[in-house]
Order: sequence, then C-alpha cells, then structure tokens
Amino acid sequence: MQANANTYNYKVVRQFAIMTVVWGIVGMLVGVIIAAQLIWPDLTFGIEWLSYGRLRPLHTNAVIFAFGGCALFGTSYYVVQRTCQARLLSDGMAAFHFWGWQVVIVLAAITLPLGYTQGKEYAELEWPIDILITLVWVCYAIVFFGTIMKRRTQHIYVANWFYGAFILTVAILHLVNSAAIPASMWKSYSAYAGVQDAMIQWWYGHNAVGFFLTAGFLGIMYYFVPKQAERPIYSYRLSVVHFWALIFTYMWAGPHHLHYTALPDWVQSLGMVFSLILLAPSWGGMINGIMTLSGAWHKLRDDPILKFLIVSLSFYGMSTFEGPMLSIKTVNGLAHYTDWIVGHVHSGALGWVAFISIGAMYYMIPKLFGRKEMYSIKLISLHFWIATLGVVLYIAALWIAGVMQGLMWRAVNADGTLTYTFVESVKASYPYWMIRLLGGVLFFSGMLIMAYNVARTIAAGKAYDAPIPAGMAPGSLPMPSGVGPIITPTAQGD
Amino acid sequence: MNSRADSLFAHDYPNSDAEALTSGALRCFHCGLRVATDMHFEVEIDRQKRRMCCVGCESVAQTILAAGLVDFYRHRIGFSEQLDPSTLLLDDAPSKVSEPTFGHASVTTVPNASGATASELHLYLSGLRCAACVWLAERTLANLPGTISTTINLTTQSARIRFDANALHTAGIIDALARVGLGAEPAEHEARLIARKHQRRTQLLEFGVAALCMMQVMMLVVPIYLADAGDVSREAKQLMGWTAWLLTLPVLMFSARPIFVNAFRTAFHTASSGYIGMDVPVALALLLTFIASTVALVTDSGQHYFDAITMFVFLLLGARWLESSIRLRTAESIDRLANARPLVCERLTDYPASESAVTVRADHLRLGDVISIRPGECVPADAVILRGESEIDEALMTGESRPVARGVGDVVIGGTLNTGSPLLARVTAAGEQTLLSRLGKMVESSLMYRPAFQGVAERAARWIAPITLLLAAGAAIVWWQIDAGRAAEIAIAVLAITCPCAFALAAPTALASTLSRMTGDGLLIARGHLIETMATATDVVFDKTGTLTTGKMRIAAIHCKCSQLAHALRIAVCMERGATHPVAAAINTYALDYFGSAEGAAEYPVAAALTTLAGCGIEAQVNGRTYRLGKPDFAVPPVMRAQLVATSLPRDETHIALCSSDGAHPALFALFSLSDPLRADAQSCVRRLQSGGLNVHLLSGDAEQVVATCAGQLGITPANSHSAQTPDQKQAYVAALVRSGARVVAVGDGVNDAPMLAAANGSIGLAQGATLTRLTADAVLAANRGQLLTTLADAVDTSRKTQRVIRQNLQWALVYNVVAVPLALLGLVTPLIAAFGMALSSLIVVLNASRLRATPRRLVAVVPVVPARTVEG
Amino acid sequence: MESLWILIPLSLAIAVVIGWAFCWAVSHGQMDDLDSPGMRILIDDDRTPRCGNPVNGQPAGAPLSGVDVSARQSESASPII
Repeated sequence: MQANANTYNYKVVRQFAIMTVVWGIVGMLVGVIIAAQLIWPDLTFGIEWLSYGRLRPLHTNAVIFAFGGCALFGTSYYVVQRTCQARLLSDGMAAFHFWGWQVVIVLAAITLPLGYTQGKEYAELEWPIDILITLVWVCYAIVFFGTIMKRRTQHIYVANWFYGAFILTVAILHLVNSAAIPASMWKSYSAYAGVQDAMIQWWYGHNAVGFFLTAGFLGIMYYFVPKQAERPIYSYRLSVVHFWALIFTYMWAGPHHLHYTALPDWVQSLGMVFSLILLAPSWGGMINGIMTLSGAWHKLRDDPILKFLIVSLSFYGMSTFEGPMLSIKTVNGLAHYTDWIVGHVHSGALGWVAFISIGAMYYMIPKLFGRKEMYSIKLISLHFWIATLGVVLYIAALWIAGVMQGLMWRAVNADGTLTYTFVESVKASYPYWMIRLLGGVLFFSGMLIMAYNVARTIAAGKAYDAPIPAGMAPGSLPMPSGVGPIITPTAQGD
Repeated sequence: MNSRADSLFAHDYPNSDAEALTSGALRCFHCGLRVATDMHFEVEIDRQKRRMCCVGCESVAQTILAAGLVDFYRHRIGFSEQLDPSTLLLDDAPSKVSEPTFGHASVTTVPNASGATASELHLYLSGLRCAACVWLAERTLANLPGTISTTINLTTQSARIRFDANALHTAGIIDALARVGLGAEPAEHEARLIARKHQRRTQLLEFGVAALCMMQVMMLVVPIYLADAGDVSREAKQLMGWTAWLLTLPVLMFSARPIFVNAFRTAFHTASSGYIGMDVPVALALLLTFIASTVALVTDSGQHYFDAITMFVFLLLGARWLESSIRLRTAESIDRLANARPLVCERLTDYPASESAVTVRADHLRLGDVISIRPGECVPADAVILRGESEIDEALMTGESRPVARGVGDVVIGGTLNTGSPLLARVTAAGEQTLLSRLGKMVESSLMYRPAFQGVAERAARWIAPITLLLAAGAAIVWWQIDAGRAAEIAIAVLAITCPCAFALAAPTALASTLSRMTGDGLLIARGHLIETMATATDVVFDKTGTLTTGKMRIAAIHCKCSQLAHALRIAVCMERGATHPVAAAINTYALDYFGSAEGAAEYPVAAALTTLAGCGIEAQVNGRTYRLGKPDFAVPPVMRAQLVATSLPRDETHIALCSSDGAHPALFALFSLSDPLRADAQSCVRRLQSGGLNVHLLSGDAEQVVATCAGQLGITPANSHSAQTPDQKQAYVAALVRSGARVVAVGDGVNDAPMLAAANGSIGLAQGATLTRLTADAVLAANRGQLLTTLADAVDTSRKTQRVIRQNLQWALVYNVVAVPLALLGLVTPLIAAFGMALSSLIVVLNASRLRATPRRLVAVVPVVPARTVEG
Repeated sequence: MESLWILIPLSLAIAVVIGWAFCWAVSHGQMDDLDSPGMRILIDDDRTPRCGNPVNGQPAGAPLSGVDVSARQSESASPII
C-alpha cells in the first residue's frame, strides 16, 4: 500500500487494534486456565509447560503487555495523529514497532512456559527479549515524539502528555530494573541482589502500574470519553493540573509492596505516605472524566460504549482508593499475600484497564474500517453486562476470600499457637475460587463476543485511512469573493 | 422539511421559517436576533434557506460558506455576534487605507526560524464565543496568502499572527476576519500585552518549579521524620540530604528570586525611607535557614530544613499567583471596555469647503476634526453633531437597545452605534480622552483605593518587619543562653512565621475581586470609596423618572367608544409611522399587541401631508379627513375643550388626544392615557434595601399624585417621598440628611440630578447620553435595562460583603500574628510549621477575598457540539 | 539501603527532566489557552464517509475504492455531509 502523505497512517492502528482483541482473548484464556488450576491442580495432567508456576507469568505478561500494550500503542498512534493533524513520523519505524512487539509476545509465549524466567514480577522475560523490548521501545518513542514535533496545531492535547510520560517512564523503569548479567542465552542474573533487588523490583513494579496501567490509559480516557460522549472534558484546566500533579508525585510509592519485609521500616512508611498522597491527583482525573457527562447522563442509557468508558472510571476511582488503603501498614498486615491483593489488581485490570480499552476499541475500530459503527450495538451491550457481572463476581469473591485468609492466618490460640493450618485456609477458599473462576469465564466470554463483533465489522468494511484536514497551509483555499457595498438595513417605511 | 438537516444544527429555532415569521419568533440564523418581517436577507446553508437579520450577517454567512467553513455552524455553541457593518471594509478598502495609518507601532518584526524576519501582529478579537469561533478564525487566517502562523487564545480573546509583510498587511488581516464576523483591533498597548503575558508565564514557571521541587524534597525529607533515631544509615541520610540540597537550589535561585530582589532593593533604601520592606524578613528567613541547613548537612550534625524552605516558597507563590490572577482578569475586562472604539473612520479634511474624506485611524483624530459617521457605523470618538439627525444606539453605555434621537448640537459618545442617518460631527475628545477610555482609567484607578481602616492597618503592618527582625535577634540571644543548639532554629521560626503580607493583601484582593464582579454586572465604579460608602450607608435617595421608572411611555388606557377603538388605533399608528419618540413607541407597541402581528399591518391607511409641530403633535390627512394627534391643547378642537376639562380623568398621566378637526364634524376619537411604568425590579430593589436596614427616599419633579402613587407602589413611606422638587430643593434635601448624620447614597439620571448627586456621600448615575460627558457621579450604572435596579441592590449587598471580608482578613492577620509570634518565641514551632503557617495565612486571606469574585465563565457545551448520531443510511 | 544509590540520583535526574518539560511547556505557550483545546478534539471530524451521505458527489453507500483517497483530497477541505 502506497504511503499517502495526505492521510493518517491508520494501518498500524488497525494492526494494533486487531491484536488487542486477539491477545486479550489469549491472555484471559490463560487466566481462566490458571484460575481453574487453583481449584483442580491436576487439570493439565502435570505437563510442565502448562503448570501454574509457568502459566501465571504468561498470563500477566499477556494481559498487561500484549493486550494492554497493543491497546496503548494503537490508541496512542490514533490520538497523536488526529490531535496533531499530522501523519506518523515514519511508517517504517511504526511497522517495526508493531512486528517487533508481536515477536516479543510470541517469544514470551514460548519461553515462559518453557521455564525461562528472571523471576521478577512483570519483568520475567529473559535478557534477549529485554533487549528486543528496548529496541522496539526506542522506536516507538521516536515515532511518537517525532509525530508531535511535526504537529500542525500549536497546543499539544493533554492525552499526548499522558502517553508521552508513559513512554519515557516505562523506558527508564525497564532499563534500570532489567539490568542483568547474562550467563547463557536464556539465563541471566539480576544486577541487584537480595533486599536491594526487591526494592528496585517494586520501584519498577509499582511505577509500571502507575505509568503503564494508569498514565497511559488516562491518555486513552482523556480522548475517547469526550469523543464518545460528544462533550468536552469537564475541565480541561483540571486535566492539565492533574497531569502535572501526578507526575510530580508518583515515583516513591513502590515500597508499599514490601511492608513487614526485610525492607527498613522507614522506607516502608515512606511508601505508605506517598501512596496516600497519590489519592488526590488520581481522583481528580476520575472526577474530570465522569463529570464530562454532567448534563447529559441520559446518554448512558442507550450507549453501551459510553457505559464501558464511564464504568471504567468508577473502577479506576475504586482501585485508586483501595490501593492507598492497602498500603497502610495495619491494613497491609492483614491483606498482604492474600487474595485481596489479587482482587485489587483485577478490579483495576478488568474494571479500569480492560473496560477503557474495550470502549476505545469499539469507538475506533469502525472508523478504521470505514464503518459508521460496530456491526451490532446489541452485542456491545451484551458484552458490557456479561463483563460487568464477571468483574463484580470476581472481585467480590476475592475480597471475601482475602479477608478470610488473612484472618485465618493470623488467628492465634490462647497459648500463642496458630489456630489454623495453611491447608485449612486453602480448603476454605475453594468456594470463592469457584466464584472467581465463574467471574473470569464470564469476562472471557465477553471478549469472545467482542471478537465476533469485531470480525463482522471488519468483514463488512474496508481498510480506510482518514484524510488529514487540508487547508492548514496558508493560501491553499480560494479567498472568498467580495461582498457588495454596505446597505443600510431599511427601517420601517423610509 | 429535512429534519435531519435540522438535527445537524444544535440550536433551538422553529422548524419552519414560515411559522416563525407569523409567530414573530424568527431569529437570524447567524446572530440570533429577531428578524424584522420586512427584511429579506437569506442564505442557503446545507440545502436550506436560512433567514438573516441584516446584510452584515448575510455577508458573513456567505463568506463562511464560500470558504468551505460551514462546519462552523455545526460546531458553534451559541449564536454569533451581530456583525458591526462598519468593520466591513469595502473591497478596495485596503488600498484606500494606507499602511501608515496602521502604523508600524502595531506590527513588530520578529526573527523567523530560518533567520529571515517576519512581521507579527497582536489583535484583540471580539465575537469569539467558543472554540468553533476560534477554529473559524484560525482557518480564515490560515487561508490568507502570506500568513506564517496564527495563535488564537480563547481565554484572553486575543490573537497573534505572524506573516510575511510583503504578501499581506494588517488591513487585509482585519478585513478577512471581519468578513467572517469577527471584530479585530490591534491590541492598543502592544508592550503592555506582551509584558502581561511574559509576567504571567514567569509567575507560572516560578510556581511550577517550586511545586516540583517541594514535592521531591518532601519525599526525601519525610524518611527522617518517619524513622526512629539510628534507623537510617548515615550514608542514606547524607544521600537524601544532599539531593534535597540540590533540589532546593532552583527554588531559591529561580522561584524565590523576586522575593530576594525586592528585599534587596528595599533594604538599600531603608536608610532613606525608614521603611523595611515586607519581603526582608522572608528573604532573611529563607537565606538563614538555607545556610543553617547546609552547615548541618556538611557537619553532619543537627537538622536541615529544606522542606520548610521549599514549602514556604511554594505556598507564598501560590498565594501571589492567585492574587495576580484576580488582578489580571480585572485589568483585562477594563481594557476591553476602553477599547470598544472602531478602528478607522472618515475624516473630512477640508470642511466646510469640501466634503472629501480620508480614512484614518480613530485614535489619531484630534480635537476639532470633522468626521463623518455613516449609518451602521460606530462613532469613532466623542463628538458634537454638526449636521444631520439620527438615532444612536447607546447600548454600550446604557444597556438600552432602543436608539435615542440625536440632532445638531447633541453629543455622541465614541463607541456607540449610529443606526439612523449619516452625521457630520466635530470631535471633542479622541483616543484616550474619550469618555469610555477615561471611564476605563477611572475604574482602574479606583483599584487603588484603600478604606480608612485598611490604611491604618497597612501603616501598622510596616512596623511588623522591623519588629520581627528585632524579635528574631532577641530570641537568638536569649535562647543561646538557654539551649544554644536551638537558637538558630527558633530565630528562623520567628522570622518565618510572621505574616505582614496578610495585612497588605487584605483589602486589595478583596477590592479587585469586587470591582471585577461589579464591572461585569454593569456597575462601573469611578471612585473607589463608593464601595465603603455603600456598605456603611444609612439612606438611599432615588430620583423618580428614569431611575425608578423606565422613563418610557406606555399606554395605560384609551378612552373612546368601543366601536371606534380599532379605527382610532389605526389612524394613530399611521400618523406615528416612522417616528421614534416615546409616544410613538408606546402607540406602536400597543397596536402591535392589539392587532397581533402581521395581519393588522396590511390594513393601516396611509397618512398624507404629515406635519409635525415640535412639542405639540402631528397633523395629517388620512382618507380625506384631517386629524390631529398630540397634546390635548393642540389636538382637541376648541369647541370640545371645555368638555375635556370637565371630565374627571386622573391627572397622573400624560394625555394624547386623537381628534378630527374637519370643520363640520370635529370629533374626539380617542384619548390615550400614557404612563411611565416603574422598572420591573424597582419594587424588589426597594424592598431589599429596606430590609437591609436602609431608609429609602424618593424625590421627583412630578406632581404630587404621581409621586404618591409611585411611593405607595414601592413601599416608600410618605414622609420620605417628596414631589415637585426643583434641582435645588433636591440638593438641599440631601444635604440636610447628610448634616443630620446620615450616610446617603444618591441615585439619579438626568441633568437635573447633578446637584443632588454631588451633595450625597456617594452617588450613582444611570448611564444616559448627555450626563455621561459630565461625569460627576462616583459610579455609573450601565447594566442591562431589565436588571438595573437589581444590580444596584446586588451592589449594596456585595459592598457589605466586601467590608466584611476585608475586616475578616485584617482580624485574621492580627490574630494570627499575635498568636503565632509568641509560639515561635517559646520554641514551640519548627521552621517547617512556621513556614507553613505564614504561607497558609496569606493563602487564606487571598482565598477569602476571591469569594467576592463573580463565578468564572465555564465553557462547557450545554448542547451537543456535533450532530447526534442518528441511525441512517 | 544501597539501592537508594541508584534510585535517588535517578529520581533527581528524572526531576530535572520533568522540570525541563514543564519549563518548555510554559514558554511554548502550552498553558496559555486552557479553555479551547477541550473543544477542539470534538471539532476534529473523524466520521467516515459511510454515514449515508455523499462525499463530493459520491452517492451514499458507495464503497470506497481502497485506501487511495488522494483524488478526493484535492477537491475540498473537509467532507461536507
């Protein structure tokens, strides 16, 4: 296909959009499998590369980096082009970005089940893949920032700032945390050790959540919510303040993952304090997004895409409240290592990240294929309700399970011995894991519905690249023809 | 009717123009004003014919269409401004207006990216209602050959254009904008505009850097607070300490630079002026704290206070940012008022010898120049009419949309609109000397006013700085004896905690907020003391006609035989056709209501041989009979006068008689009783003032009966209402009130009221033509006519609130300083808390004052800005 | 806490970058108009021509010919619907 300088590059957006749906299904399928494995450990007949320990990191990587990543890349390329009214800096580099990233994911899908892992959460991939990630990321940064530099609008829309912060921060986090000394092709040793490694790992881990899963998706929110609602963001001023407040304060929340560990007390406290401080800017963003509908709440009734987007913001608010609460030492003392944490992660991942991505895809995909809207609005609605039910079951089940586990583990008898054995807490958790599995299956089926809807939409449409509005170059439109002489408006009768 | 096309446009107007026409609700598609039934301006937009109200809107719409910018109509949030036709230059106008008239003062040269130079022009734009208008402006400008770049700012309603001076000139730019209905004037005070923008940006930068460093330093310092002693290793402490030190440097060297510069400057002059600036203790505190902390860091002993320093600067700059925001907004709204004049005008170079005219810039007019003001043009300067009679729309000043008649010898005000006939006038004041400019300056200068107790407070505040220094020194000495280790810390705390700025900020911010709000509401305050006077007033004296009443005639009753009513009305209307004086207006309005809209219109007969006798009435021939319409003395045939006198018609209205004076059958067809109704909000205003504890008085030159009725309706006690007052008597009355100890605010409008206004403690004039040029009132009420008195009552409330706020602020400042300093002296506060307290104290003062502001304009679309997604196709 | 020897200088460096970005934004006018950008994205017309209305004479519902829209480009500024 000939690169046409007068249109936007929707091709790479299409590619990422389709893969978002594909990887969403793959990642969530693995999630369903491992949830089932917790209940029926022999589900996969002891095959080593289908064992829980190896599939879990595959699940996390697939949903965060494959599903979440493709959603971010696709939407960021869409948003940056449209808001800067300029085509991507380089089609070739964008293509490398896409294919490079797919290679990363495929390699992950191969190496992780085979057991090659660095053992660092959300950074399990071994060093060759880390290098590939770095190359692809640099490419992405060049294309994204390069497109901004060739913009034809003076103002850079706020969503692009969020995307930009996400890109730069993740680059730094990745480089620092993945520093390792290779021992063989698929084995390396972390440059850090012991509790120091833990500190850096969770500095990475939490900021990855903060910038990959929050800042980036806030960029999606700030563009797609107003577009779908056909109303401007409630307060653009607030969105800019929100952005700067967030990046001024984000970097120190990491230690809250390490409460009551070997990490010094004061570092843990530091993490707690700043997690609490983060509450304010996060909620500012949430309010800004939800209040966009102020005066037009009725739109929520009939528009399922808007439902996805607005409900995602509610879950965002909930998670960003739950998070700081969990970082308080006393609360953390109960919740750490329990399923409450898993519940918290999934309320953010499913409720916020997945919902906003799904909503954005439903908005974007028709436009990429020359269609006015998705093949079936009813199916979107069905997807919404199934998915919401799924999320609610999931997190409710794990809240209960988590608190129960925490209480059981810390219960002591009068003489100081533990009341329950660990196995007893596992047995007590079964019913809730069943409910959680049901929730996950529901959410997964929702994704299948989405895949069907997307496939039918693409089949009915044709790849379409939108034109860049012309006439921005001076002198390219004809001057209006002159008006006649001034006529006095006639008054009554004279 | 294509309802889909209608749904494309997010505005509420009737589905069919035909319906709208008969219902009288037809609105111009472009600007939303009513379309007169006999106006036929129309443009086809999106395959539908849309009516416009005038040639201005029609040409703008056509221009927008021709440029392919019809999306503008889809995305705008409301109606556009009606185009001022005077801004539409003729096709060949750019060549007519020679470039020197625009002067290179407006256009600056800037270096381009490629090294060449480009020209840059700053403009104030009017008509920017929403982002769609911004888009329209940008696209229009981008289409011009020679444009390099444009930046439009919706917040400040201004634009900056960079262009190639060889391909494009200022007139072309302004013309292009005018053609799409956006007014543009070169920003008069280029340097001021640029300076303001620069100042704003610098302040934001300083504040932002302080905020960033403050957050980062907090993160690095909090561990020390959280950790138990000995928990944090020495290396970790040093690492975090030095990083905090590095992060404090930008705050001190960049963000706090203005504080240091100021302190330095005033310190130098202390010897001569005996005055220590308020920034001196602050600067000293910052410096000493930094030095002490650095020493502590280097020697690894004692505490450092980088968090206190950065927090202090952050909060202080925050408070100042808020305050200057308020001031900036006030200044900008005043600027817009003062800049309402048109850009160019026609000057007759050789009057009366020849009538040739040249186009010149309006502010280059000089006293005595003769100018021509065409119908539809804005009056370029204050002038006296030499020739011609016309109607002037003085809505800018009076809020009154009905034009007022002006003839030879009358004064016209720069910025108002000539709606009637061409005029020749001699300039009496131009440019900065015009009434509007002077008003603008007065409002601006009233910002300087300080209420009495504020002045005292400020003078007292000047002592705080030297006292603080002494106390700090004293504390250092005393604590050195008691516990040497704490001496420095406590001295710093004392320096940091006092807040003299709260005193200084107390009144100015409150006044700026209030002024900005009142200017927006339509009360232009020329002398600042009025706010205090209104707040402490005990009595309000009103003039009646034109102040409490609309000054406009209305038909209260028609006395005639029922069967004759329609006939009499028709004749009266046709005789009054084309006249614009109040009686005609009253009759026309009544007839319109009576007959309904269009149908009756066709049936009006035509009057012939119309003669007007000034001050008496009209005589005309209608259908062969001679009629007279006017004062009873003039119109009623002598034979019937006796009858008229014998009737006991109430004497509180003016009467206009319609009679046929044909010899054989003289007949009194109708007697129109006209009254001058009270303003809609008069009653509620008086009630509000009275329930606020004010005595309300009514003075009028009208007859007793009239005044009594009026006073009764308003609830003013008979003792306080006086009729048949001459101007001198009014003045005497007010003077007597003042002598008796009352604080009087007088409200009036006519020339007659000037003495009365001058005698009162505070005076408010209603904006009406002639009196404005002799501005003696302390304020001018220029609100929309339906809101005039409501604005007045609001202003009294706001004034009281303002005094309360100022008092609250001063009390707070006093209490805070009195409580805080001893706490610091006793060593009960750390420097961090001291800094926090001080900065928070200023912030509280500023926030309290900002409550007085009008609620900021929100640019949220109430209607969808893009078409609803209908399911189709 | 040796890891702090990496993390703290790193966060200092990042703070400098953030500071630079903020200064860049303010001095390049990014903070001057914070009212209209929220609306501009709505004005940006991203509707596809398959909305049932003609694009420059093309009948409604006609399929687009592949991706090459250059011919359509030269005719008008924005699709008039």
